[in-house]
Amino acid sequence: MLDGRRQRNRVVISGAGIITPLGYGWSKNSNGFRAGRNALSLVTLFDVSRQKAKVAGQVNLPESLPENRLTLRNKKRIDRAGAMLLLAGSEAFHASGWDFAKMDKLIPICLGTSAGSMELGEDYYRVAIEGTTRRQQAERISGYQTHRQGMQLCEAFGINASLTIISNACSSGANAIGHAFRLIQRGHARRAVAGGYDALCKMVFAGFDSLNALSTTSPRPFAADRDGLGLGEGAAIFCLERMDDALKRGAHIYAEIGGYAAATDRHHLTQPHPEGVSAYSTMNHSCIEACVNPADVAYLNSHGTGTPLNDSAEGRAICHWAGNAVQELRVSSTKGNIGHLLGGAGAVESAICLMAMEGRWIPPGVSVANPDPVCDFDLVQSPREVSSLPVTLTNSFGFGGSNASLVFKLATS
Amino acid sequence: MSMSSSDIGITGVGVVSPAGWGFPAMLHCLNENKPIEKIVHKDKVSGRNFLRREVPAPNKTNSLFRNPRLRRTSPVSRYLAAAAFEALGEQRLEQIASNNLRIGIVVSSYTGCVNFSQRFYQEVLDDPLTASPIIFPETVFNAPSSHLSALIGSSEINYTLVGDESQFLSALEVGVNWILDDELDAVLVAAGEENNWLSSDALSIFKKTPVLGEGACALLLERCDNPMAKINLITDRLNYTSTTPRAKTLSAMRAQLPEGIISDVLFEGINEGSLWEDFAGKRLNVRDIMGEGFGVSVGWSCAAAAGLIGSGQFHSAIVSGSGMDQSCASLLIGS
Repeated sequence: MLDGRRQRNRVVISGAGIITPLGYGWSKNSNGFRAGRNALSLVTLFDVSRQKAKVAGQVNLPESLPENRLTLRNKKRIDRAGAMLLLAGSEAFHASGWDFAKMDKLIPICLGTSAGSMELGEDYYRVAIEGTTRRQQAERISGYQTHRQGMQLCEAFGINASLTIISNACSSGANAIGHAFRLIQRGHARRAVAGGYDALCKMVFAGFDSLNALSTTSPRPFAADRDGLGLGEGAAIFCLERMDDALKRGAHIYAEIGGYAAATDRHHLTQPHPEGVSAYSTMNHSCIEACVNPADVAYLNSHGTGTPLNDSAEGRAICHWAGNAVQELRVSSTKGNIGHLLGGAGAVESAICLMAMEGRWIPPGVSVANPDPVCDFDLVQSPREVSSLPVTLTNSFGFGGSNASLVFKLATS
Repeated sequence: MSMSSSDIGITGVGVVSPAGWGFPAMLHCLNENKPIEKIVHKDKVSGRNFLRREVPAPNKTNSLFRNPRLRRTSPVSRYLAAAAFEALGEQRLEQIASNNLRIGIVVSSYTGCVNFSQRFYQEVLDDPLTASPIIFPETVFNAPSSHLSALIGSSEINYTLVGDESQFLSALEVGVNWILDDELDAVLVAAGEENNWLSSDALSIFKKTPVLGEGACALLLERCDNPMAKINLITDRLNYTSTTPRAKTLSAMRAQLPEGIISDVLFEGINEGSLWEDFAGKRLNVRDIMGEGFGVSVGWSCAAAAGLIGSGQFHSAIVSGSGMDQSCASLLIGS
């Protein structure tokens, strides 16, 4: 029996992979985020002619998937979300240098997703309601289940895994990383795979549009005249392990996960508390765990959806939390560039923090002529190089008041 | 990761099932071993008939359902709320209200808020411009668990885990670890499912003439010297894969239980073949009584096991959480 109560292992990220509307792979995304490229475009994946909003961040999937162990039959069953998961996973596993064949213990895989493979669920429903055929319905309903995508990832790379799928809406990806972090930190596991993913689909797009949460112009987080978010899709996957293990095998360490906190905002199902009390709580507690002060945080990747309610609540929470350090605190939201990736957001935005720390730059958000007055912090709107980024923090806040913050530190043994 | 502990116990149980609102109603039906009457239900949207065992209407107006958070929710949120309040009881609710109990929530779900999801998507197909903004938020997987946090008044961590029947045991493990790690004083682990023709349609691809069940269960986990039942072991959750046949995975699951273990009662899972053919104790199958409750079936089994142990009828129980098509795990609990 492992007794986690006395253990506090240091946990590092030693492998990472990413796919977003900016492209596939670490360097393509790093270059894109560093330059503040905008990857939103008119939606072509499904019909939006009867929607108020028309743009989203769509991923251009590569023509072929990376080499993997799936049978031809199973490869044909991979849907859009599953493909992104496989692509991000492949890059992360390759970067980590892990050899799954030599790992005899179950590896926890913690994935966050909000919609999973909704596209297949939609297909299933349309065929079922017509009621004329059941052809391929078994494949659709099996593939629709999010666990199946995780299983594909395991089978594709020969991972003997224990899967946990966290569906905490837009904080799912951050929760998944945080959960994996805890498992290692408290001694329940030595290593884990974690990340988040989501693909665009008609139902979710229409859902956010029905709430008037989507921008009908262009998403511009923290602008005084912001009018909503843009949706996006993508995935990021990480390999987490104990720092001593990573150092021993001479692994490349992207960063140490310093702290994680999750809390629930009880104010409303879809609206944050106006003062962002839970947001404050997760920023505060994650930093306490990481033994850092707000003044130590060199960059904060905000949740920053671009909706009027989120940005003002988060902005207030950031100012409250940062206190006297607020004017020096560099903040941006990358959702204006690639869209809101829902269950994938927390993971992709964690990757952005790691890229920034590695390259010593701040990812700019879209330029806004008139920032919200709540922005007492340094809202980064254009590319910026810095001498070092020892500590970064990322926020993820979701429907249902699911809030999470992660703190990353440059690894020092 | 498997989990073994003698520190954490189940101190409260709440159930909503086709047997009625409340844990005693389900326990009574299980003791009687008499299946709940199944009915043919006609779905309004699709016009399809399907067989189900449904949760009866509450006997009297429950003030809980007048809470604004539950006004527009799908049935599963109401089932979960009722089960959670029953599991917590007044004393724990007062402790939470006075910030004297740090309580987290883990909800496991398989089909989610399927009624509202179906309804909303049909509206999108009809015309996205007129799709209801009221329904959409209730389609999100974590809407029910969010309502739970709001209703019981806890701002602590809250996870919604998605998976088949075996997921409930993983949810229990998450809860146990949170307490063992001293993150929280207590964790409410819950599962809920609701009937819908779409679930029946999907299940009928794999099973002839399925009979659905619905409801919720909630287990309160705490450190306690004298709980209803102690959680002794939760085995690793193992996946069925295309290279590992189901039977082999199930055997590997069983092999994790201590050799020669004697248990009084076994709550059977799905399609387990000869896995437990040598089991000498009493066997119970909640699905036979309540219908196919998907993710909540294993929750009901755990609740029943805790109740039967708590009442002194049995000393220990195994809940075999073999899921329909994803993975399996099992639970060993005892007095």
